[in-house]
Amino acid sequence: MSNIFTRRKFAIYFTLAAGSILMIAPLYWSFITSLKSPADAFDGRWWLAIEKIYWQNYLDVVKLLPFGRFFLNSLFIAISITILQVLTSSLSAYAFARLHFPGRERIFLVYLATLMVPGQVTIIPLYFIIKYFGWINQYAGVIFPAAFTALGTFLLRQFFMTIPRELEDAAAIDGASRFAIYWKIILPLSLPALATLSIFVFINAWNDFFWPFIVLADPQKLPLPVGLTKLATAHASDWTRLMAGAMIALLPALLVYITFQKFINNGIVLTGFK
Amino acid sequence: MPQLFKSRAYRDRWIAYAFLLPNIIGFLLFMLGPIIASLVMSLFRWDIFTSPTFIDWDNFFEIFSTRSGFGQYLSNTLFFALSVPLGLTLALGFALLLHQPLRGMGFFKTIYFLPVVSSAIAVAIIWQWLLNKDFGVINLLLAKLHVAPVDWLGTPLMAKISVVLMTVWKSLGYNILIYLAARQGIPDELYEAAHLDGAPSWRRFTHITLPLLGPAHLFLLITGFISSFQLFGPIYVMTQGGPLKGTWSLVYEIWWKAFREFRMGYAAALSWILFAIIFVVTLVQWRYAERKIHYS
Repeated sequence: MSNIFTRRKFAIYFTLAAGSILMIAPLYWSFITSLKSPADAFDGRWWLAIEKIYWQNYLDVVKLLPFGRFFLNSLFIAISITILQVLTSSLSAYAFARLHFPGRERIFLVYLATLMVPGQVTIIPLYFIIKYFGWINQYAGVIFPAAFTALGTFLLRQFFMTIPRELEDAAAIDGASRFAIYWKIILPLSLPALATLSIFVFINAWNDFFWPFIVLADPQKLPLPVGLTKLATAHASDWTRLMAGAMIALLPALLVYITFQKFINNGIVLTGFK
Repeated sequence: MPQLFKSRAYRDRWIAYAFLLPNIIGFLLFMLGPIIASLVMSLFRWDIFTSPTFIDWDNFFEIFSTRSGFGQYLSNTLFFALSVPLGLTLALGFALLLHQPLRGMGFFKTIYFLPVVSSAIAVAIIWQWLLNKDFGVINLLLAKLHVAPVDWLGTPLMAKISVVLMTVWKSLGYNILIYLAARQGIPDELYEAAHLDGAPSWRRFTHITLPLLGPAHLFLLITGFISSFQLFGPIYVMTQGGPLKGTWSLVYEIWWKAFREFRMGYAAALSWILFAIIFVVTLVQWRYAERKIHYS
C-alpha cells in the first residue's frame, strides 16, 4: 500500500517538476544569455562560470537606448495609472454600492456592458480625442485613458457590498458626512481589495504595449515594452543585449508578483481579473 | 415627514453624482464616447488629411470583398485561438496534480505563474531567441535528438504554430490557477460517495470533476478566446504579420489600416466586425454551456 503511495507521489512530483522546467527554462535561458559575452552567445551552454559573467550587456543596453529613462517612464506611468484608477473607481464604486440616485442600476449596466467591447474598437476615436487635447506624445495621453475603468468600479463595488452597513449607520448618526464615511470607514476596511486591485493595475500598466505604442514616439517618453521593441528593431540579432533589455523589462513585474503573491492569487480566484 | 425625506433624498442624489463624477467623465470621454464615435466613423471614408466623406456601408462591402484579405486574416486569427483548447487541456491536468495534498505545491504554482506577469513584449523577444533557426536553444536541443533544424518563424504555418506555443506557455499559469480554485470548490463527499459505489477513477473524473468544473471551463474559454483574438504585441515583435502575411491577424490589420495607411473609417469598420465576432463566439459558448453546466 505505502509502496503504491510513494510511487504515485513520485509520479506527481515528477510531472510537476518537468512542467516547471518547461515553464522556467525560457526565462532562465534568456537570463543566462544576457550574462554571456556576444562571442559566447551561441555556445549553447546552460551554465556560466562566475568569472565569465558579462555585465557589459546591461551597460551597453542602457547606452544604446535610454533604458534608464524607459524604466523611470514605466514606473511613473504605471504608478500614476494605479493611483488614479484606484481613486476614481473606489469613489464611483461607493456610489453604486451605497448611495441612491435615479438610474443607478441602468448606469451600472452600461458600465458592465462596455467591459465586453475590445480595446481595438475604441482606439481610433480615442486617438483623435487625445490629439484634440494635445496629448499625443505626452504622458497624459497614456495615463488618462487608462485611469478610468469600469472593471475597477465593478470589482470594488462587489467588495463594498460585503461591508456591514451598521458601521456606516453608526458614523452617520454621529454626523459624519458621506465623504468622511467613504474615506475613514470604507477605504480602511477595504485595504485588502484595494491592494489587490492596485497590484493588478500596476502590473498591467507596466506591461501594457498597444496604447503607449500608438500614442508615444519621443524616445525620452517611452515605457519599457515600447522601448524594447525599438531595441529589437534596431539591434535585431544582438541577442545578448536584447536579452539584457528583456530582463530589465521583466524583472520588476516578477518581483512585484513574488512579493505580493498572496493578494494576486486571492484576487484572481475571486474575480478572474487578469 | 415626506417633505423632509424628499429633500434628504434630493441631497443624497447630488452627493452620489459627486462621487460618480470623476469616473463618469473619464468613462464618457475615453470609453462610451469612442465606442459610439467608432460606429459612426465606420460609415465614413477618412484619411485624416481630408475631411471625412459619408459612404454608407461601403467600408463593410470592401471588407467582405475577396481582395481585402479579410478571409485570410480571419483564419489566422482563428488559428491563434487553437491555443485555448490546447492550453486548457494542459492546465486542467496540472491543476488536478497541484490539487493533491502534498508539500511544495505553492512553490510550483509560483513557477507556473511567472510567465503570466511577464511583459508580452519581453516574452516575444525571448521566444524569438529560443526559436532562432540557427542558434535557438530549441533547435540545438532538437539537433541532440538528431532532428533537423526547424525554421520556426520562417514559414506561415510554423510561425502560426510558434505563436500558439508561446501563448500556451504564457497563459498556462493563469488557467491553472482558475481551474485549481474551481477544483477546490468541489466537495470531497462526492468523490467519497463515488468511491464507495465502486466508480473507477477515470469515471470519477468524467462524471464529477469535468462537469462540476463547468463554470471554470466557460470562463476560461470565453476570456481565452477574447485575448487570443486581441493578440498584437507578440506578432508585431516576432513576425510583423509575416511571413507572407501568415500571422497577419484582424487586430494587426486594424492597426495597419488605421496607423500605417491612415484609413480610419475602414479600420473602424473592421474593429466593429472584430467585436461582432467576439460577441457571437461568446454568445455561442454561453448558450451551449448553459445547457451543460452544473452550477452548484
